[in-house]
Amino acid sequence: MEEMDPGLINLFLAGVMLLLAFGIGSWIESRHFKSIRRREEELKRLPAVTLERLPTPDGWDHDHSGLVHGHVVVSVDHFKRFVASLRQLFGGRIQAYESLMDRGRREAVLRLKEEAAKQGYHAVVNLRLESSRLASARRNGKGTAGIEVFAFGTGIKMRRLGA
Amino acid sequence: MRYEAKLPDDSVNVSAGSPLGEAVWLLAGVAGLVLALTFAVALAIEALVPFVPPSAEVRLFGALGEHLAEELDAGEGADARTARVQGVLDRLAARWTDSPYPGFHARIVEEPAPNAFAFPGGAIVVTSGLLDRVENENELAFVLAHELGHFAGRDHLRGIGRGIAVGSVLALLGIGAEQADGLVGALGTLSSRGFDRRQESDADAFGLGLLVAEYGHAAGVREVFERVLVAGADGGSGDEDEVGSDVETEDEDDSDEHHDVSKPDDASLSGYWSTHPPSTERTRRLEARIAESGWSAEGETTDWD
Repeated sequence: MEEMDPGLINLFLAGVMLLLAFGIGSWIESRHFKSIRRREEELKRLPAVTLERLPTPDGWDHDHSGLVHGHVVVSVDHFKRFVASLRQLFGGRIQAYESLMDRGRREAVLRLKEEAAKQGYHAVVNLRLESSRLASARRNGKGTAGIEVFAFGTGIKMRRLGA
Repeated sequence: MRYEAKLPDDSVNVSAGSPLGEAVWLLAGVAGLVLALTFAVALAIEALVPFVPPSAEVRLFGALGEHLAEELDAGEGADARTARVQGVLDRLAARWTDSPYPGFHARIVEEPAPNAFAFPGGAIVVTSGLLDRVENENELAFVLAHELGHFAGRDHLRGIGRGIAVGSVLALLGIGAEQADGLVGALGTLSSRGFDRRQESDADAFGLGLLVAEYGHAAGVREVFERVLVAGADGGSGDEDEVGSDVETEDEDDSDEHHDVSKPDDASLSGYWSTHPPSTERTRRLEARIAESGWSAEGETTDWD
């Protein structure tokens, strides 16, 4: 058995770690996207819009309104973080993080809609999104543990006139 | 206004294309950048080294080299053995008539692996394992002459310079690329190895010249590669032969040049990763040189033990 250079072994292990992270990360991400699409379909009939008010349909009146929110914390896998760190050298779109942000925003809106549905609201107006980075303890807090996306808006419940 | 329920379009906010492909492109870019920068800096240092006078080298590194060499020096009866090695070294150094160095100092380190190092400032360290393995003075002389060849080529200075070059290129690129460090480091090391191997060949040729000047023939050269430096050839532990394989980090310790043992039938990959050309290649080059110069490869050897 030929002795291997320790540098080569480290390089090999780092490569295996990255591929493993890529495989597991991609699997988890595709499962999440599937769940997002299914729930979006389910909650399609509950509008969540950025308008401040919705026109009241004939025969209906405004019953009450209240704050609804949804938030999510998502992290990226080791592989995407590695690709992004390379991207920092050259600049350009960090494609590896695009799906992360997309997952975060859609999941947050979905959770907001789920909460609105549970509380009996018919629609959500004045929808707003906020995102922030969660610092990691590594690298003196300069690293990124993940992102938090926060969605909030005003739930509106309608009631039929004369009911 | 009518509200129409629609689903978000998956393809708008997430770019098409696999992140794996992106990774491959970016890695290729980083590799190219590191290689180009390291080679550029290394070439600049190659050009500058001849302008550093040996007197300045001794002034800058003499104390450090001596200190390192003294730290290593140990073992019973080391003084007597050191004096004998110093004697051989002095005779060889005297044959280097235009040597710009004021003098060279021999040191012995207790270490079973056969190896030798040249430190900036003029110290040459040999391992006790090397002394145990040599069967005559000529073999030792060739190893010492090879190390003198590194001084002639100013290779230890190049080593320090390249260490600084690779270190600064990595530091430059390392910002924000913590995970990429391992890879970038390996690339930097890889790119500097070609230089090392040329230096070894040059030091071999220089050492051969001194050896022949001192003894009148080149006996011992073949044995150094075929027996003395071969891992595990006669009971010596050859596993530590990679003493100098972690070349070129910022530490001064890494500025040393060294023999390491290349197995006679090196596979091409391990041959590339080794700092020294495979032994068979070195022997072949040296034998060609001996034949070209009309020297004798055999002759009366001087006893050692």
